[in-house]
Amino acid sequence: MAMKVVALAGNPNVGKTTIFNALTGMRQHVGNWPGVTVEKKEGVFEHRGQRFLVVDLPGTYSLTAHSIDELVARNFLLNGNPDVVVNVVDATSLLRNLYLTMEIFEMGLKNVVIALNKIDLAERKGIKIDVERMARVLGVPVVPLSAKEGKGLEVLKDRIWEVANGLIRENPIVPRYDPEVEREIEHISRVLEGTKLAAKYPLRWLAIKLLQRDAEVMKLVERYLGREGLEEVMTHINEVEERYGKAMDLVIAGQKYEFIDRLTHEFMSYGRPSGDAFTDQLDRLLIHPVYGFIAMALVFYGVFKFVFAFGLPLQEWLSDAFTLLGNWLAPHIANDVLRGLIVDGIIGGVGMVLSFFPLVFLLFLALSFLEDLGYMARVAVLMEGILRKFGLPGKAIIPLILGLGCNVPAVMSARTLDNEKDRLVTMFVNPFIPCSARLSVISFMAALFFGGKSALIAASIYVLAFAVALASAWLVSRFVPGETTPFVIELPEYLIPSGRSLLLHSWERSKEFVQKAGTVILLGAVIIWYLSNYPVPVGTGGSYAERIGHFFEPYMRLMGLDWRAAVSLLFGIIAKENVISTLGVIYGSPEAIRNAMAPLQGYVLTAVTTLYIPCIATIGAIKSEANWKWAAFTTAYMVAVASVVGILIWHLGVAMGLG
Amino acid sequence: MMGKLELVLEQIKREKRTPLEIAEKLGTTVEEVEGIIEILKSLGYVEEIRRGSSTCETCPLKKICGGKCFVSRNSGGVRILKFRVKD
Repeated sequence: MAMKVVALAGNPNVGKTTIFNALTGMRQHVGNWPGVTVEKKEGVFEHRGQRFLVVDLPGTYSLTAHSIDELVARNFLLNGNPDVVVNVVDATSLLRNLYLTMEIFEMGLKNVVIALNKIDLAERKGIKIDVERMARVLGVPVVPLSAKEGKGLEVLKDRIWEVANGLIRENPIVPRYDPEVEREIEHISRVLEGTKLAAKYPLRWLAIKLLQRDAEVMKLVERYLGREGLEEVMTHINEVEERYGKAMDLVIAGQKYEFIDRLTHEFMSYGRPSGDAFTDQLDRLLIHPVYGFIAMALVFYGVFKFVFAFGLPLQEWLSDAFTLLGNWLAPHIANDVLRGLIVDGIIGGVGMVLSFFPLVFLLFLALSFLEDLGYMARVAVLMEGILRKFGLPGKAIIPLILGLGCNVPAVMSARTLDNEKDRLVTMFVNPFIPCSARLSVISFMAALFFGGKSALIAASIYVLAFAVALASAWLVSRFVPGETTPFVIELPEYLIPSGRSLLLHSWERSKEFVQKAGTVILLGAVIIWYLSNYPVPVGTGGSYAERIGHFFEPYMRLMGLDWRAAVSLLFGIIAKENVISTLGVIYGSPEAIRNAMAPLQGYVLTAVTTLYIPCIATIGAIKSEANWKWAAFTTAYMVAVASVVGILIWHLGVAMGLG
Repeated sequence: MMGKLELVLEQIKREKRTPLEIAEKLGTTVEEVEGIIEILKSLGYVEEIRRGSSTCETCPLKKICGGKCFVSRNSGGVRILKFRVKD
């Protein structure tokens, strides 16, 4: 007996694959659809002595042929001659799912079985579906099932067998449009009547697709009617669209949706009012323009509090461990130069940076927790409203959030924005967003100078950076012309994060910090050690580092800083962590830094480090994504802004008696 | 009279930013709005912009960070879908 072919069609994520696996078990074959890189899955099952070949079609929301997936699914339904089409629909989102069902019905197929999946979930959500009535209204068999639980699959097999063997006479309902659209469908159908196309495809379907300007169907019609014939039809459609004042694809899709909406009222009802889910209520609070910001401030203050409360004791322990290592190692190295290089340069510089690993790890852990929970998406929505007010495109929130990790991919991701203005402004402000490298500097300075208030201080630097970014965006967007396009952000469901996943992601992110310490920061520490010790040791006024630093010192004095800060900022251009290692090499220990600088100076240096210049890699990314002029302008602007901010903070602080 | 599909499209154009906001404005459910957005997407009126892997693939720092920055976290990350209204 010949094998019958069963096509599985449905929206993405409706449980189609679960049903496919449940039907076919291990008897599956995976390949590609001819000519395209879309996965084709086939499998075999046997029921009542009949063998069936199941073809899993790509998941689609419609059959409009805007994507390869839709085209593959549509072509198979039209030309693959399946004996049965199993349309898997999600009972919890019936309106959306039945849109595809109607498109299948419009193809004139009379061998469809509806697999009404997730019926248990729908019941739990208070959605009541009268399955028998649904089958009568739709004119095809409907099988309620829960594929995940394995319920209803035997009945589905029965229905497939019955349809395949012609035991069920179907009368699928097809959407009806307003009289004018129906008149046009009839008109185009008459034009196509009598052509060879009429023998191959349902005329009504062809007419609807032509009205929707379906590119594939237009090609098909041109092949059979010739260019002139197609142009005649399209001229007519143009006139119809002019009368409607909008594209016919939207008119037809809209009316089809309304048809489905009316239809579902006949067999579906909601047991409880919609929209009162806990997550919706929570979202209303978290993206509220006032309460949302209060919640965000509390959440991020909590994050910094957590990071410093648990991270600082570990940081101090690591710092002591590096000091002990240096003290232990020093007597074992006879050569003075080598001892200085290893103990003061490498352990003093790199060790000081590495001691901040616990804080970096804990911050990534906290951010990963917020991300996996779904909270960062709410922050994105909240911030998006602010961004727009300051002339940034709302979509810039993605590059800005990426900037918290690393500014280089963040600058590159600006290419997804719609126009030149959006891209330029987003790239321009991105380097102000403190990346993870600057996080270590912020943590270091906050912990070193502000003890119990370090969480508040670190948070204030982030607020300052975002404020400067927004103000800069507002300023520069005045001079860069262009318009932005509207968009929607879809919020993910809240999820309780898994501990393993959190630890894994946090480690993956913070691993970079350790890798960098062993490469760029190590190299920087060695160079700064050399510059600090040659030709004469630091402190004598004649070392290379002092000479370089003294050149900038008059300028640094305006911010209350000295030549040491100038040298550390210079090395920070290569990698921001070098600011810490440079201070470590020059001063010798964290205590020496604390003794030499006032907390206000520490705060100024932190703010300036956060704002003063993008790292070399970020400058390169801006140059390659825009041009060297934009990269140079961004760099110069940042230096200027950081100087102004540094000078202001210093003088305001002194005036307030904090200096 | 505009149908729900067009109403949702209109709300997107009027800068309603989330399905929840649109649902509240139209007096329907978030699920229905999300469903309509999917249909509009399949019609080509709304376009999804994902944080794809292309940014990561072409990033000059990929060798250093191994693609472990925020970009690579498609699952479990910020998980926001962006849509763009076509002409």
